[in-house]
Amino acid sequence: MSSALPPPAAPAQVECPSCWQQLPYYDAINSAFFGCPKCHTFFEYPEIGKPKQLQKFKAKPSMQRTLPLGATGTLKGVPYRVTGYMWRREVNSTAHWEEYQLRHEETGAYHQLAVYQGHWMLLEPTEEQYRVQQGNSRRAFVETTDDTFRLYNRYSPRVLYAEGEFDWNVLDDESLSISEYISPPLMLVRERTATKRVHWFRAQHLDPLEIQNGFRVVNSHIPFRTGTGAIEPAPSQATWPILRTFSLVAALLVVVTHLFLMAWGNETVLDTDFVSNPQTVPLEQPVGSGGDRPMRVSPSFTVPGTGALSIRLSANVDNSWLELPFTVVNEQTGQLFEATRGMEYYHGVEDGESWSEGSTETDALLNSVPAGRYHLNFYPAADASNQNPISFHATVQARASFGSNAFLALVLLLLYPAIQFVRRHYHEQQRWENSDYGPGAAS
Amino acid sequence: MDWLRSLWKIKFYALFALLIYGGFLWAGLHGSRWLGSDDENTENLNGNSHTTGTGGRSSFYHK
Repeated sequence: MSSALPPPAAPAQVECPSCWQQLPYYDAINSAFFGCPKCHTFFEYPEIGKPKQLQKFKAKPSMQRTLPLGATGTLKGVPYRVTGYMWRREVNSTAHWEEYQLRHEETGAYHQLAVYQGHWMLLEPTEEQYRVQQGNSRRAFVETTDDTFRLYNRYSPRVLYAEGEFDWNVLDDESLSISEYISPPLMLVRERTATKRVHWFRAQHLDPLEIQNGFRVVNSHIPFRTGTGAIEPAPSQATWPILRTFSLVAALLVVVTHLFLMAWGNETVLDTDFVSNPQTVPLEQPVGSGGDRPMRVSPSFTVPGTGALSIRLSANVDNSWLELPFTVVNEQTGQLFEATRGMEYYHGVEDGESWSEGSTETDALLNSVPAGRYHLNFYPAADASNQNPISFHATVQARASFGSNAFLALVLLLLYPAIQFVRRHYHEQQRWENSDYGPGAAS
Repeated sequence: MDWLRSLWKIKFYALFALLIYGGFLWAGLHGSRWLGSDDENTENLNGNSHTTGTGGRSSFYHK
């Protein structure tokens, strides 16, 4: 059973001219065409005269019917009754889909509920006439005040099966040229008759849950969804515009703040050269032991406020190396910061090609150095073969800015939107892979 | 109001972004690098120390 409640008795009945089956129907005023579920005959029952058999369908769809004829339910707050069912396909394609004819229970208006590969959409006619731009192109589109609808499909339908009641001859639809323009979760459908008359329909995507809840259908009777629907909303459809705007604004704020911090800080508080005799003690020799390294002490400098301290070092190393341990000493509190930096630079010519490796510069960044008066102690050590004086240069900047925090903040801020962007892009790619038209199509 | 209403849809992300930006601003003003400091000194102001420097030092020099 597809519905928890059996459909109520129809107000009228019509007799199938082929098998004499009594067919219930609900719209005694407008319904004139009928499909018999027993013998698959499609016939017209005019107001005056005898019923006329129009076609006997050869095939009946084998798949489970989600909604039985006569079932009632609510979609988007509108009460509907299922009065007809069709199984259709495109002329030049193997694509099959089902269409339920829905009758508005209050106004009597007819809408269609179509399902293709488990993707549902509700179509209703509109009086509005839309202008198709670049109509002969595969990139044709319709511009409305709110959206741009892009051409997704063009086809002519074939009716493979129909049952229930209809207020028009569904077999005439086979002469229609249908164009579908999409702006998910909406679609505009243009039907053009052989006599060039044009009718427009508006369609909207429906989640299978809306069918399940609206018509009280058990889950197992809802067709399984495969692929991406023509107007299936992309992931985060409702939140994407604000997510995109908000994340970009936040990222911009990080960049502006970083620029502000760069302008506000980076105050040079020490910029000095040092010269030391070469030191030949082995590196394993602990500093402070008997064969100690010579110490070079910088002039005092003032750190104006708590912040990072950047120490940039450069040395005249040339095919040699220099190890430069140093401490930053707060002269008022005795607080120490220490780091060790090495510089090595080698170059030469080998097999006619010049080469070089290493660098004569390095730097260190100390976190959250409090305001106060400081000096630097250096303990240089160089290559034992180097008999020249060691010359190095130190530049200290207070309240130093550094890009790594900004980079990390941007990564953290943009990670989730980036994932959503990729998911949406993939979704759109999958959607348009089912189409011969659209943005990627050759004109 | 519409903007606020749509912002409510991404309230968790907005809160997360606010925390990230607040942390970034605080770290920038206090000179705290998220990836860590190059300071190799573990001595505190009480004089207890534990050094890990590559120079092999075990004590410190004061001017």
